[in-house]
Amino acid sequence: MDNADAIRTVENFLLAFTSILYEALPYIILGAVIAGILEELLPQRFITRFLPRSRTLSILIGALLGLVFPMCECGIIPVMRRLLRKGLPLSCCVAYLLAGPIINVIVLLSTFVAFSGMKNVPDAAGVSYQMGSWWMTGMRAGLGFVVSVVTAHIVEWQYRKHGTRLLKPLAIPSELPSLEEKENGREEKRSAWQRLSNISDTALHDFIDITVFLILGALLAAVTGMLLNEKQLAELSSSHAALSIGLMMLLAIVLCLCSEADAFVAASFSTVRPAAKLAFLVLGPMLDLKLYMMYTRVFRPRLIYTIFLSVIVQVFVLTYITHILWEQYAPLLFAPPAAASQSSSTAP
Amino acid sequence: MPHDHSHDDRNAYYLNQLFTIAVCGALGGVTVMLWYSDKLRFLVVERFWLPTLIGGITLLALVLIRAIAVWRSVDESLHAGHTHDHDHDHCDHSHEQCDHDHAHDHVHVHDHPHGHSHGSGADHGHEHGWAPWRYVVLLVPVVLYFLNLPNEGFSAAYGDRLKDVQLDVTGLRQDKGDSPAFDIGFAELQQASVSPEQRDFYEGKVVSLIGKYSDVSDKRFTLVRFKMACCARDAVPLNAVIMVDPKSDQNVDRDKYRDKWVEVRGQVHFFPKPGSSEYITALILYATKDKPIDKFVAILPRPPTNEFLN
Repeated sequence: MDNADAIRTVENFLLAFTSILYEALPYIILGAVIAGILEELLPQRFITRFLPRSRTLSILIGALLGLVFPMCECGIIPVMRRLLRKGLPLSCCVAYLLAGPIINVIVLLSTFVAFSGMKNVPDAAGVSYQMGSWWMTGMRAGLGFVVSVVTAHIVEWQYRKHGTRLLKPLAIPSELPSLEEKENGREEKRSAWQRLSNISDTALHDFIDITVFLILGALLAAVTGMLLNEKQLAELSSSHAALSIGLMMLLAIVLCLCSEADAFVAASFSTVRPAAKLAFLVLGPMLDLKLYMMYTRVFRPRLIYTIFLSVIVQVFVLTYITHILWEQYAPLLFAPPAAASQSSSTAP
Repeated sequence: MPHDHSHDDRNAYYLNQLFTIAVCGALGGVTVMLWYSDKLRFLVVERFWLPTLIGGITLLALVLIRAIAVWRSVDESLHAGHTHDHDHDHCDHSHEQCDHDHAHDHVHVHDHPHGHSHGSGADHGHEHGWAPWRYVVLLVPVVLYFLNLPNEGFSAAYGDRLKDVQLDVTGLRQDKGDSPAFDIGFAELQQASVSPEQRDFYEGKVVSLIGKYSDVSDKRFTLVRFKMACCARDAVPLNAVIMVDPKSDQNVDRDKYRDKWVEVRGQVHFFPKPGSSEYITALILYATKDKPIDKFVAILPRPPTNEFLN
């Protein structure tokens, strides 16, 4: 590699790094401001009043919260940390954290658009039936929901066992005055300026706390992205289903793409099997290098590894089952009547 | 809760606040400047420009509020005629739980220096410890901005996925020599390679494409363009092979075009990709002595307004 090549490599790396950073930055700022407002204005344990008594039901609600409060996977972290401090159960927060970046209108719409017009691809065995927009969007949302709900239940079980030892001090529910105490007038009165000042304090604190790890994660993602040729990796995985799913999951972890954009990248891997693309799309918003760095500001390692293990195992198993079912039934359901081997038929 | 309001803690608190204000202000300013100087186009797609600007302005507003609050807290602290230079070790519980007088007046709820996590009613979940390494990390994007980096899109070689692909050129024939260039974009032509009907339609048509030159050999180069969905990191490279007619004695002046933005006019041909079901889009240049390569390949005086395709 000559000097010019080395300079170009560094420039490419810096471009990849800064683009990850500035794409996420507005959402981190938004998340930090919401966190500041929540911390200052939301009475302690206010949300818990509205949650159903059944933990399973509240987890299900948490997993669908993204439909009402759409947040990307970066912006969701400071908000979730403050919600935890306000007494929202950890399992509900985890359900929202994992499912929120998938089950929201923006991401579902972008997935739909990315996979519209997807073509079936001829391969050695005949035709590889690709998933069209309805299938891919539905499967992504469905699997994202299942994985997040199951993981939230595992986290709930862990929480009952280990309690707040699973959390970093900043995420542990605080001893702030409860709603009842506020209503009884026991809380100190603060002026509008004091409230604004406190909101700015919390927001900047959270912004710095999370952005530091976003930058480190973006650097890591840019480095690994430069070392990998994702196209080659995708092509390598086109032959064996399990390998294909595993490699696409690895790719999701190292690429650190925004959930709004990852569907377009997945769709560009035209020869990769649909179940592997699905694994890429379900795992990416739940687990990647920059998210790992940011999770360290909320969870202790035990909880991080529990979540990661649960998510990885589930995504692999569920997408492999999807692969088996899809390969078996897609030709029966979607084969064109006359020419089943027609190479360019549009995906279902 | 025992906590110590010593001078060291107070200094650490103010140092932390000052660095927070300075670094967040710098980051907010850089974000706004990236928008102002139109450099965001290298990083994110257009729909992210406004949110990024609003994010930068919000950050600056937060910094302004924080700066005034810190300024006032110093002022109030001095006017209140006391400092927090005392130790609460005598009382291992929070202020709210005390039923005795602490013999001083906290004139404000939060704008005061505590070098610790509060654990009392004014707890905003902060760690006020002094951690300078975090500010060093946060300054990385600021430093990059002042170094004017990054200042262009990805290099062509980074996106050249066809450099080493061997193509079978037997059967190439010039169909429609000098017909006017067909109007089609890079992405559309790339998409056309997927469908047999589209391949049949475009085969032999003369088209004009703009992209970055990636060097391969005297007879061949790759035209590279990136298609961005959200940010540069997710940009997908689009490639078209540009090949001089194998029978031609003309060669590409590699040094002349290296890493330049060029517009190429040539005949479309789709090659099956070896070992794959995909097709590769190629433009064939039927260059002769009378019509040399520079008649087909023109260097653009400046890069296109948006290097990335959306």
